[in-house]
Amino acid sequence: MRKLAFTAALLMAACGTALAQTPAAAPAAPALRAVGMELSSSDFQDGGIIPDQFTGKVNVAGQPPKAISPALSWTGTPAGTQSFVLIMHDPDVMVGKGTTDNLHWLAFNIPGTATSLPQNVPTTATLPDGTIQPRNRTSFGFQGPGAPAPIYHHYTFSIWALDTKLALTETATRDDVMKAMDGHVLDKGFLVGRFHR
Amino acid sequence: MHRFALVATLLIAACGIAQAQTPAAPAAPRPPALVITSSAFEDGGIIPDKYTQKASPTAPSIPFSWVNTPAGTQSFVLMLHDLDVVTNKSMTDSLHWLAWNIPATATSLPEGVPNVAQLPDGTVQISHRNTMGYVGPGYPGPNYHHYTVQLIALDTKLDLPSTATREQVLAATAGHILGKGVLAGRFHR
Repeated sequence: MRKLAFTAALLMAACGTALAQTPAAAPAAPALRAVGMELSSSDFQDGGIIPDQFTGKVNVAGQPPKAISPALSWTGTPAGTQSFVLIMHDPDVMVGKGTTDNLHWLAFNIPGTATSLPQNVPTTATLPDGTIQPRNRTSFGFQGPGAPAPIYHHYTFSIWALDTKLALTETATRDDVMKAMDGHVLDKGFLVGRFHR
Repeated sequence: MHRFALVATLLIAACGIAQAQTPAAPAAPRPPALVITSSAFEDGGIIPDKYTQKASPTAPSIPFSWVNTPAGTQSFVLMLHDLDVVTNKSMTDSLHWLAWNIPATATSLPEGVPNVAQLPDGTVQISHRNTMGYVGPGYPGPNYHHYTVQLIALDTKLDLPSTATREQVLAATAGHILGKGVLAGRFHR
């Protein structure tokens, strides 16, 4: 009987040690999904340089833009996703002295089944699959990066999985879209590309 | 005389070429942009473990330095946030460091800025989880999260206490931003 009690005590002590060795941070960490969404491009590496063909460097003044959108794909779509929003912006830019930066591409109501966007998405207000692309600063759809030399700007692409579709039209502004997204974001993924002329 | 004319013509032609190669001067030349860098990692690169929760819950803050402070700058705001985090289905991401009223004369922040609400030079600091000052990146992975640093030069100081929220601080910067510098870092455990 004494031997059993001793063994039990040893087992409990061993358990206690094992528990103590579990990193204390693990249970206290914020509720993050184990594997989040990941956005990537076959055209440039995360944190790397965006090649010229996707930038304003190839555009010719007075002619339609030659810059095409880079291929994008994503993984880790959460259950319940009804649509995606894509935002590409240049956070290095300020407009006036305000907090607004440069919007390069905004697309919403991308079908929840989509896992990629090909190169050269048409710069039209709507796409056949129901995607809506409001204006960037000047035109519908994608606008290539154009930061002047010598400082790299940080073109930030993000894909947002929503539990709803957005009841908005192509006249929606970025603020309108972000306001409508609030409360519906299931997950998101980011990709940063850098560029200067 | 002929020879002189030829030389003159050549000189004029050479000048013309030289002028054509000079980029057209913009009407109002822009001053060089504010640039923030870190000695700890390259722009777009990986934040070393030393500055992350992988090393310690109280890992030292990343050292930063900057150049090209805009004329008229009265203070700086520095924000470090994890873009990839979703909080309760909202648009809010994860704040890791927000410091404001950094003196306009500053050109750097050293490694290991103390985690206090207010620094001797007047800088005020907050972050998420009720911490005053820097909280290191901690995303478990396996994919990378994007920790973006923004340095914002303001034409004013901000009259906000250390109980202010990120939204209040950013709202107060509107209409006062003279320059911005961005540095992108990535990390997972």
